[in-house]
Amino acid sequence: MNLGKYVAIGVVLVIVFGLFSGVGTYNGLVDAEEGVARAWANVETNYQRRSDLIPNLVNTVRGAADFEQETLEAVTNARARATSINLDASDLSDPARLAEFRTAQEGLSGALGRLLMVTENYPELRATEAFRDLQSQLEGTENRISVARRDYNAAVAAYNQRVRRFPGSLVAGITGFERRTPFEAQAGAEKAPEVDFNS
Amino acid sequence: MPLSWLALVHAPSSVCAQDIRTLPPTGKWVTDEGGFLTPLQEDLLSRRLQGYADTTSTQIVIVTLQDLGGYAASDYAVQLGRDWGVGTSGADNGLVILVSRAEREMFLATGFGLEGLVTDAMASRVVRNIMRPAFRDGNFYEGLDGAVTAVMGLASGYFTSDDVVAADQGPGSGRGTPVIGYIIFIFVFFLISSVRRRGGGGPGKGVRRRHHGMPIVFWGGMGGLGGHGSSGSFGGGFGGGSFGGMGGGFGGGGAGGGW
Repeated sequence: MNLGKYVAIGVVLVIVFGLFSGVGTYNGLVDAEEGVARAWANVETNYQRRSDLIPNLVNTVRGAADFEQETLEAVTNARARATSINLDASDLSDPARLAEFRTAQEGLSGALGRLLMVTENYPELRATEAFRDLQSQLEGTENRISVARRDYNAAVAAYNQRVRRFPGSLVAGITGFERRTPFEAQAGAEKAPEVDFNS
Repeated sequence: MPLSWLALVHAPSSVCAQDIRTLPPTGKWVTDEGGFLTPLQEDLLSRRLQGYADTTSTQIVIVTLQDLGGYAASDYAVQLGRDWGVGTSGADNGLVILVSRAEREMFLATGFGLEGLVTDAMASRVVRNIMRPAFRDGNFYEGLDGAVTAVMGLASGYFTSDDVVAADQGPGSGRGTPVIGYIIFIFVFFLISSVRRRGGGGPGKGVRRRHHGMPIVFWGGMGGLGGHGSSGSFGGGFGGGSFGGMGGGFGGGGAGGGW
């Protein structure tokens, strides 16, 4: 009789604990997933910010006499490609989509890098305050991108750890939480374009 | 066993730590690790920054270093702003002026709340037109003082102390479930222990011991169950600068350069 009572209490306890831990774990997963989505939105916003700066930059540079047209066109085309790819939260578990996004943005980074390199040949352009302001805005945007990317990767790492670890793995398996893909930059691409202020 | 439970439970929060290790918070407005300033100059700057923070709530912090430890100046400045919590909570009106001796580099990192006033372009002008020329002549105090004047002018009047009072009460709420979990657990535990005590043999010393041992075991376990709901934030873990730093919203805004 006494034993039966203990068993009953024990069963109730296990159920209560299970429920609490399950709800807590689920909520934790939801929070972590939202953290990932927010961090990604921040990454995209900052890439968008860079794209928004480009028309201004192209116009400013075009004003410089006989600036190489193909360099400008390369930037404009790369920008069009990069802005055509947008990922939403559900794409973040798909490495292929993320790679596509990354490749497009890195294409734009490369084209911008070449443009800035070519401007080295136009000291009178580089000396204008307008160009310098644009350049610092571009540089600031690259910094923001790198910060946002690092934050995103930290959010993904925390989320993935929850999904993989017990008891999160159990709850995630039942409720369908998938692992997210971190944003891996190409070697060397994570460095913001170097701007030499001394020239 | 209880320890391993705890370790398992509290490990995830360590993932949030960034890989950049910055100077531990000094709680000072001017931290001159790089040795650019005399004590008097440091004091003068500190007073200006303190006064400015008192009247506008905008927190400007000057940090000089011997070297950046291999990190980019921008990354270091942003991370330091976050770690120290420069700025006020909600307003994120902090600004870090970082100068490193070995790399001859400087960076002005603006908090989210200041990005609209101290834009990247303006920060870059401060670096190019005020700090660099002075630094090149070895006038570090003049460069920093001029930068502070310029930044204060840019940021002026946007935030007042009044705006911040409400915002400061923001974080720390909204984590009800775990607390309830703990309370229920404590309740259940006492229920069990009282049942046991009634049902168990005489109150011998050995039995008491075991009862005392119990809470640790269960506490650890419960920490595991409840804790999962609460540790979901990514931005947390500011050391909390003793200059009242509760902000730390830095996203890479600002500008820098060498001298």
